[in-house]
Amino acid sequence: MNFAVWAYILFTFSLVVVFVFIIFHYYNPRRKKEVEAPKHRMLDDDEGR
Amino acid sequence: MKENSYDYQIVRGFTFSALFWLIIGLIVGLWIAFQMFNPALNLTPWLSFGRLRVVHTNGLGLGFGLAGIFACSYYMLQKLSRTPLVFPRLAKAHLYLFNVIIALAALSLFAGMNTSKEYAELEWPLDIAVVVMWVIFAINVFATLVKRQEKQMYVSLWYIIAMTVTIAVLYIVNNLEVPVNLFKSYSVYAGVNDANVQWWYGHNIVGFIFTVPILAMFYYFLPVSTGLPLFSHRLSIISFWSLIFAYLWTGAHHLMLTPLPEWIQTVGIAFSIFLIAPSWGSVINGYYTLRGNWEQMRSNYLVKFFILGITFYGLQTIQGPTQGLRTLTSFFHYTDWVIGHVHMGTMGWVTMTISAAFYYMIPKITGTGLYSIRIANVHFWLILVGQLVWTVTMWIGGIQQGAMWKATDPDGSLTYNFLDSIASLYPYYKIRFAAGIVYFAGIILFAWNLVMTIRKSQEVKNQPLNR
Amino acid sequence: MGVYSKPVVFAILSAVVILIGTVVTVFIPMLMPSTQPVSDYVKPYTVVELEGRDIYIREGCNNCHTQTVRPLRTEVLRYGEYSKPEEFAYDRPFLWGSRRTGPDLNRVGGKYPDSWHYKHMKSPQSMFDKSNMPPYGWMAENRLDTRYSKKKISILGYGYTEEEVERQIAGYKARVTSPSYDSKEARNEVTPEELRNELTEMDAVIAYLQKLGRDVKNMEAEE
Repeated sequence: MNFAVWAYILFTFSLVVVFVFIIFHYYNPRRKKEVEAPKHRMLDDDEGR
Repeated sequence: MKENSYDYQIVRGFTFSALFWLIIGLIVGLWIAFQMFNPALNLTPWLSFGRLRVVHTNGLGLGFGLAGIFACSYYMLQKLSRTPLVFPRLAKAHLYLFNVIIALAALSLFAGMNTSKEYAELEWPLDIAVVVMWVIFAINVFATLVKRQEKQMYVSLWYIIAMTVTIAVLYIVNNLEVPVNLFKSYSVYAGVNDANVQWWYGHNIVGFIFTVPILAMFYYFLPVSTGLPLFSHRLSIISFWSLIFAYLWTGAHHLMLTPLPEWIQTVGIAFSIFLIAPSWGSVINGYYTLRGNWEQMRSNYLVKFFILGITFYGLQTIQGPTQGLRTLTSFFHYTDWVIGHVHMGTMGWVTMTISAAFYYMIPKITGTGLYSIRIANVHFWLILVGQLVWTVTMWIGGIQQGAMWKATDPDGSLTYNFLDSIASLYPYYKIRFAAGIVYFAGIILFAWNLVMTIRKSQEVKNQPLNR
Repeated sequence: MGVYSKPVVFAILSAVVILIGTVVTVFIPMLMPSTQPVSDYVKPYTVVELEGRDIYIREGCNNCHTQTVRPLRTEVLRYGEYSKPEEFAYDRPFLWGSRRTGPDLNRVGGKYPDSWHYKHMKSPQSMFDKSNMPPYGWMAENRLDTRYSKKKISILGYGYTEEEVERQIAGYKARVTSPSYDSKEARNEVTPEELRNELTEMDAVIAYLQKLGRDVKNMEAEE
């Protein structure tokens, strides 16, 4: 295997790691309330109609 | 909060600018659709297909698309920040500048001042004007966001930020050119590099005009018009970052089997396939938001626009990566299949979402109800049927032409000459034109409905904006 | 909530995220000479060909005609040898196109005599009654504007001196206005009397079309 193949594998692998990290970070139950808060806040219309 | 100080004048201005350019762009579209089966409509040099096609794409992409985005962005920005626009007069300048630019763009393209790079055809003086306009918009976006009264930014605001940043980068990089005179310039890039830069731009300008801000609208207007909270804000976070990361790698799928280095093409396909995931993240988020409340499809006239819109988005984001695969691109590329693909997105996803957003905003800011929900429903069905017939016809035509190009006789020679392949499409072009008329009728009703809503509100109150 | 409550940081972060793919697939290839190789066989456009190319751009011919033959069996059969990166070294902008409403033109040079092009440009339907190509006879009614030719050549760096530019224009004019020009009859038919001794836009466009793919054909002939 040459350099390019290793570079591709390494790059793909690090992308997967970052991706998995982001998912675990935001899907951590401890953060749920905080992360989901904006979707409720945005429904409070300050026009009161 | 300071509800009365929200600048809705600007939202209204951009809404009606969008409707105006939508109608102009569609008339040009119908004109060129007719030329495709009857060249007699190439009446003068400035009405010839080569020039008009560019007026059509720019008029709708930049005229209608951008105006719709500006209207909705200014609305969402104020609502989601709970802050009035920081520079309302700058926004007004933005509105005037925008319409002057689009009018000059149309005139200059009619005149043949054209750099040839798709969706970046405007010559350099207008490019500079576009950049100035974009900076004016960005100043208001960031100033309002910095002053906002809401701690966390909702997902729609992220999409607006990503669009603001990315379009600036795309537009400037692809439009770097050396002027010859006021009306003519040469790209700074040559050959393969120029192609690579152009399709990096071409793919992403579509992505960051017809996907990213439209998703911002979808994520905002679907919840507020149904009263249902978004299914998952966490899912939208994952979708957002994966989408904007992966998008920029994929331009090369427009250049499959060309002299572009093969590895760029392969990387382009890989990321295109990956893009299905974040795209469907948004689709699923939309569908699940309606969980248990699907009866709103019937009871709330806006919901069907959103749901059909996101469905076309979902279909398109599967079709796009698939047709980029080498085997399929060798068959479909350069045929009408791709034209059908684009129009499912623009006539389906983009227009339906913007339609619903306008239907939501205009009654809201005028303080009266929509002029006619029945007309809105007729509008929906006309553009749905028009679009479906339009795109399916083009797919069939594309398959037919692709097959005719590849057909060989037993002795290995080509079965059809080029002209056979194009002449065989004329029946499809006639159907496409008819479908375009149906679609156009729907759009006329759309514009009429909004104009009458404004009229109605003016009758109710002398000061329409002071609810 | 970190980045979601800091718009400016958020904007910078998004810029970084979108620039990764951009740098790898667009900027790095630009620095690699192998992306756009140069070949001695492929010559820059002459001044008249370049002016013709600019008219091709002005009229949006690229909206219906591609200029890349793909390495596919039927495509090579239909158009000729597939396109090589070297051929485009002098193309600013590139004109590969995205839709074939008309046929690919990357190998059209030398395929037909000039007279064919004069007649076809004047009325495509007179040659192919089902064609949907717009007629371009009016191009023969416009004198070719060469006021900016020298400036264009210097911007593009084709390396012709000012005298060379003038010589090329005069040379091509002499060729098409000469009584012994092989396509004289067809040219006279489409060109109004008062422009028959001048260069027209149509002359330039045809010069450009006849250049397309020629260098590759010469290269193959030598091999």
